[in-house]
Amino acid sequence: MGSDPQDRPGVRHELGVSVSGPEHSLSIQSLHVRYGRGEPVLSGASIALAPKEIVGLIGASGAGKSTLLRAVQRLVEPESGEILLDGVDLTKLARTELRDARRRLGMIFQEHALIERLSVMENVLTGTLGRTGFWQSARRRFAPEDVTEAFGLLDRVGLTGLEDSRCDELSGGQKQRVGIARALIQHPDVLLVDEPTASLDPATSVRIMTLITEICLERGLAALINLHDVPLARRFCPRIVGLKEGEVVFDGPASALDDEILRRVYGDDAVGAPAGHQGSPAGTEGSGGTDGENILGR
Amino acid sequence: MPVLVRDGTREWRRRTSAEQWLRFLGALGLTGLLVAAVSAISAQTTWAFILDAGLQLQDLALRMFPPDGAYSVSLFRPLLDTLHIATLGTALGVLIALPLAFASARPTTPSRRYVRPIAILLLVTSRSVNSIIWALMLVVLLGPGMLAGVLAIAFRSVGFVGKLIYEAIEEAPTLPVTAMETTGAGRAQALAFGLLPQIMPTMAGVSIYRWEINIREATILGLVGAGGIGMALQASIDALRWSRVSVILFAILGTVVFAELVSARIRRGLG
Ligand SMILES: Nc1ncnc2c1ncn2[C@@H]1O[C@H](COP(=O)(O)OP(=O)(O)OP(=O)(O)O)[C@@H](O)[C@H]1O
Ligand SMILES: [Mg+2]
Repeated sequence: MGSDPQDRPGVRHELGVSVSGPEHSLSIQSLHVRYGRGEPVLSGASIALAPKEIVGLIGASGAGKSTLLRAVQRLVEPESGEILLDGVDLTKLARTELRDARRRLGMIFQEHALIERLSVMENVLTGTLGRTGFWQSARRRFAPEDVTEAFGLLDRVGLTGLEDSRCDELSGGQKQRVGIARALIQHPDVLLVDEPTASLDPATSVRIMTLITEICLERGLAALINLHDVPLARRFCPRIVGLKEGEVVFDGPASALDDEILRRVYGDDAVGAPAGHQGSPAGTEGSGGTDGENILGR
Repeated sequence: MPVLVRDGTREWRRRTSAEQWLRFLGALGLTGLLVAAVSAISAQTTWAFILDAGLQLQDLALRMFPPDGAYSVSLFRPLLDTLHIATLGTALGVLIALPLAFASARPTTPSRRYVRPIAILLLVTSRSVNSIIWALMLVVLLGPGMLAGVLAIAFRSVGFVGKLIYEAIEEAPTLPVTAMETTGAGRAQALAFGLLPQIMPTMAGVSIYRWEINIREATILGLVGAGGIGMALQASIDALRWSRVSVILFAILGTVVFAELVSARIRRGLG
């Protein structure tokens, strides 16, 4: 059955301990995307992530935030533009090279996108499919070191002992944690996170965002995080990009985000007259900020 | 438009007048069709036979009783054959149906323009020919016996099982498959993990349900020489041994009830 996992000197990450490997960057340049013959959804959006940088992407519903992440993974083919991962243009990759690029871009979904009928452990191990052969995976013969790593990641995301539970038995927050572990076992260089908290309560949202950003720091990952919740974006993302109708209308530090910019991103109705606490100058980030009844606070 | 404005107030109706007229004409047409069908059937019926059907039934019942109990022992073998035909036929049918289902379903077909229509056509063909007709043709091809029965059951099952599985594939959420692709998995892996677990319950449930139907169908295949208990039935009817016919009918009833109980129990366990 193969040797003890400890015997193998691993090039892999050891159980959540930070690795200061090469630094990875993602640069999206004037991306144009449309579905079929419809209206353009992205018209020339550009965002560059420096190594280890955490960027929050905000924008009204339909602005194209999810489409942007899907286009980076080439789940929708961009019409034009460049997606440079460490300088290599993903839009030009052939099928097999694309698989490896996808492996390097860990994706976390709003609806967690787990396979509900499989166990937590199986779901986490699907993150290794990019490096596991078809028959090994079909027979659930995952590499012993991958299984060891999966246990470590479950500990890290706070799901110790739940490896045998079926995913449809878990709470929303727990499912999101499984999704995070699945993305991490890919050994990604960059995380793409699509509204990780949209279906969670405020307290759980904060915990999940804390977990994601901590892990990015530990592992030196850059991350692009779509968020509906402006206070949450302010609190966890040092840099914010505002998307409106497929174009970047703001790109700057979270502290620069004021009413004027929010109006630019979300339209005039976004910042109501009585909403004093919403628009107060930056510096209130630490206060939780998830209690707002404002449109922006969900 | 179902909303009318009259005297400044808005009225809402379920249908527009044109729709109402169309529906009325439709109903009229259907009634006419029914009347025509009844009169056609009536014209071809020999009413004298119908009138003495009661007497005939009495006569038949008298000849069927008492059932020939001793004969039931020799039914064991043909009953077992019937079970075998149904089970093997179902297994073979499911085996053929699986690739056809994947070829028919929009998200998994290799080509929507060429492969999908062909696969769907095969499924429809399989379904549109009753197993007894498959059996008739196969007996001509392969000679009488169980093999013809197994193949007849299999060919009829392909369409049923394939159609239900391909619908399950088309209805399954695609997000898990997408998620698998973003991990760098190949297409086959993405389907094996993102799709297969979702359609597993349907696959198992449909196969067992078809097995139950096939037990019923396998009991009559013998009438055309394709093995099983139907052969015994045919022989007894030909020889006018009605006391044996009744035993066979009871045996079939028992088998079918057994199959339905097993099927219901297993399907309840699938979640
Ligand atoms: N698969 C699709 N086919 C056609 N149009 C689509 C598809 N997905 C998204 N769109 C369209 O693209 C636009 C942007 O959608 P997208 O999901 O990227 O927005 P979003 O910013 O993520 O919104 P939300 O905050 O609601 O998630 C919308 O107008 C939507 O109707
Ligand atoms: Mg979205």
